[in-house]
Amino acid sequence: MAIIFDKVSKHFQGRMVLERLDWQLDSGSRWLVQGPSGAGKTTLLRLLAGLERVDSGQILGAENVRFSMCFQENRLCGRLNSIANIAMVCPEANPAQLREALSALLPDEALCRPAETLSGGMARRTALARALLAPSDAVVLDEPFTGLDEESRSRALTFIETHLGGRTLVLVSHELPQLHDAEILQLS
Amino acid sequence: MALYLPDVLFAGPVRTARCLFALLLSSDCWRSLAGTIGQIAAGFLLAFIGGLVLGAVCYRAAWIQSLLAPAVQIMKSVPVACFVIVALIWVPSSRVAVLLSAFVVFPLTYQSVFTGLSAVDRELLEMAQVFRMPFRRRLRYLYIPQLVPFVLSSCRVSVGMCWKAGIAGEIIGLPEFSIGEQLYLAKLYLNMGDLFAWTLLLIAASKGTEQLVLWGIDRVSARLEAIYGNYF
Repeated sequence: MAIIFDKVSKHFQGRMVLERLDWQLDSGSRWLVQGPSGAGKTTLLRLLAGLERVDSGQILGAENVRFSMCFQENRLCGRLNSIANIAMVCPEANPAQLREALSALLPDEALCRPAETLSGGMARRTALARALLAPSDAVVLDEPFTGLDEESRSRALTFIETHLGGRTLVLVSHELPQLHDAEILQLS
Repeated sequence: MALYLPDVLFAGPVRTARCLFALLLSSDCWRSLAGTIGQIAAGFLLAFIGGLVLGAVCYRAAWIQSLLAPAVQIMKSVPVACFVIVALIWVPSSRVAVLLSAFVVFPLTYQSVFTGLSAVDRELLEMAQVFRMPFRRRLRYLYIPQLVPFVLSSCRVSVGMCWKAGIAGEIIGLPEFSIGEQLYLAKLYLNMGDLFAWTLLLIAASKGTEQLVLWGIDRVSARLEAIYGNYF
């Protein structure tokens, strides 16, 4: 089912960040959202995920879509380890499967450490894994490669390709990651 | 002091010890102790549960919080002695201790629950909203871990205060078989030995229940730590 942005406008802190945006996300489509800082990329994702209301226009078809999201901030429970942080949003997941999936992104010793003791890059990869391993219809990633070195970024990209399946993807990134069949939404 | 002051004004350690020993051998002593613990525990539990529920309700509905704010402020600032008079009118005198105990515990618990819930990380709540985490999981992973330290610290304070207010209520309400009644009788007959012995018993009972409650809280805390801190 498609999600349609119909002439969506949104102010943020007294400034118009999105103005009469028309955008259609077909089910299973992949989108790279690009634009300079302050262009409204994060606002767009928050509107999509239902965290903000539009000022005018409408978003159709999003109400029945289950989203999973990697926020600009990691938003992990500091006292829980990486596996528990993911299990928290994956009620039916098997811990052994989560451990195996996560080991593609994190060293084994980091899996059982409280998230508050992880390095920035490790926490980022945990947040990314949570978005991809959670059951959802659409995956929303806001700057998922922040703080990752070249090798980690490449692993993260492989992780996205492996675990995305046929779900819709919306990815905001300053860089241009090599995503197959991705369309680009340019915000100015 | 015991050598120079008459028996009606002061009891020395030997006389106090004798009275204490005699008290411990009487069944009335244990009945009074049990009666007082029952009254104070009832007041504590009533206020604790009420504080938990209303603190949570007020977190969800700001208008209820505004509605309750003056009452809570009054409970925090009105001296227990003033409230006793009202309590004597509202409830049978034998139940004044329950009401007074609840009176001092409720605002502390209520405030700690409300503050604890208000301190839950907004970003994590947004995350839970996006991932459509059911309420039970939000409660388990987001709310309870945040709430526990606040409730623990309020319990540490309120147990002792609950005893003080409860005994004051018993001395005024004079319920049958209570420490308050025994203290009153000792004062009435100018029996300083009994008065000091009951005071010692009271201190021991207060400290004992305080330790028991803190032990219980520590156990709950350790269990939660095991669940939330070392998941898997």
